[in-house]
Amino acid sequence: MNRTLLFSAWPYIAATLFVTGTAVRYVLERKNTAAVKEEMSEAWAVFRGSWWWRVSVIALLLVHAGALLFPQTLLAWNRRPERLYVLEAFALTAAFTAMAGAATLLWRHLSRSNRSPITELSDTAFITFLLVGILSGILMAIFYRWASSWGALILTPYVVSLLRADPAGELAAQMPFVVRLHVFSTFAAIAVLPLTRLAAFLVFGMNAGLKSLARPISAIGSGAEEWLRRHNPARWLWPEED
Amino acid sequence: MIFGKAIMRIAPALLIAVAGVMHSALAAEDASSGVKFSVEAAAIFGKRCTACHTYGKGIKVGPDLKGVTERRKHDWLLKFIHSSSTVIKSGDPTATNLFAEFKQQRMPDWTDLSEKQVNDILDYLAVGGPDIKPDDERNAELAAPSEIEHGRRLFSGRDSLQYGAQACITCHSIQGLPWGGSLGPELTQTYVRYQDRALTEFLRHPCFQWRTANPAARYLTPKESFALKSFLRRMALEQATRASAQGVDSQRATNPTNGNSSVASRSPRQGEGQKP
Repeated sequence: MNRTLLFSAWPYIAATLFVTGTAVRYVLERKNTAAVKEEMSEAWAVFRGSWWWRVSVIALLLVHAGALLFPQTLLAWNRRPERLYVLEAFALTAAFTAMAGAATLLWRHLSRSNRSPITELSDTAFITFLLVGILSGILMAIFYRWASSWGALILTPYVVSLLRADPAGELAAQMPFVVRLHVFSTFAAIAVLPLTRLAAFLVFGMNAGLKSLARPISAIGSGAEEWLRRHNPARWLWPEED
Repeated sequence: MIFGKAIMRIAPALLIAVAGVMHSALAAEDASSGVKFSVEAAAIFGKRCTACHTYGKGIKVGPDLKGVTERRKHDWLLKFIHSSSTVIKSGDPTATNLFAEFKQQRMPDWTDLSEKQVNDILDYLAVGGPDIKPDDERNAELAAPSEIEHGRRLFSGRDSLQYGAQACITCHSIQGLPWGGSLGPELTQTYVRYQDRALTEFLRHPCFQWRTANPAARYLTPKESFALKSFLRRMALEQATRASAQGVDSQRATNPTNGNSSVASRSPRQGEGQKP
């Protein structure tokens, strides 16, 4: 398959699977709040891991978000070699910690299975994609030094092009295999997310978000109904009927 | 809210300032001779005019443009470039003579060019712009030590590249500069592999898909390109010198009586004929 086409299409396929899967889960589970909460506690038990795992994943997410949202600031930071070394060492340490955490999660998860095969398989696939993503990130950092700099130059414009619906797949396609694997596994993890237990958090979040959005609309509707009751136009339109 | 209003107030001024800086960066380029001309005009001339005209090399499809700003009046040139068909139809004697002389081949009407753009092209021709060799075409052998040092600073990121491109060290390493990137190839032998002219051409294009907020922006200025090329040449020579010295040491170790080896007497420039 053409690599450029793959990196232009795959992110959108992953996003479609994510949105569709989340919507289906929401429609099926929104009214069963108790089941959603139970699944959330199960998801927490599966994915919680150690304190180090959680902190390292948050640190990695923040570093990636920084590179995506503020690439110029990151490049300016990296211009001084000592600052570049600090950032790279920090990210690499976080990645090693996260990899150990993900491997532990996968090991524990495989040794206990108590739900439907689809959920178990999806959870396993999700953790595996995470593990592959973290491992390829570590290999990138080791074999292709200063990924925080060249990533901000090449991969950030790639993600921006995807968000603008003008995909520049060639930016990712021209990269070495581990970089492509990193990008691919990230989108793969996003694609399977709605099938995992973690989707319960998405359903709960959507439910809460839609309710809070619906609240003002409902308040306006109630207010209008009250106003109409007080100022019933029927009295002026058909006064003889009173 | 106050902050938002303040941003709204200063935003146009900021935009104008940024646009001004970008315009001045693109409007005038200091060529090697110190003559200033519009880079955009040079680009338009190269793209639209050189297909039919030469500058000092005789007639091609249309007349040689060297000295055209002295032969013709400025206003006439302005009208003719914008719409030669209109000038010919008006019965202008110079235009009709040219039309007859050049086998009734009419110049395209460049109505999309603004008056400023045409004026810039005429200024470019008046200062002999097409004859001026860009800085980056100078041979790296002629580089001053300060230019090589400038190249070293650009390579390592200590000096910023004018159009916002990232320093070479982000992706490349080179012997003599520690901790270079390893995404791209090692560049110590680049000058030897490419030689001066090919390297000049290579440096005119980004080495990867490079996107910038300003689509008119180029990758490197000619001066930056020359400085980097000179630095790469210096690194190649230094590496060759080191290799020669090591060769002498190893030969002396194996054969102490023959110190004047062929490797030791090899000039660093002898290796430059190699192909990639």
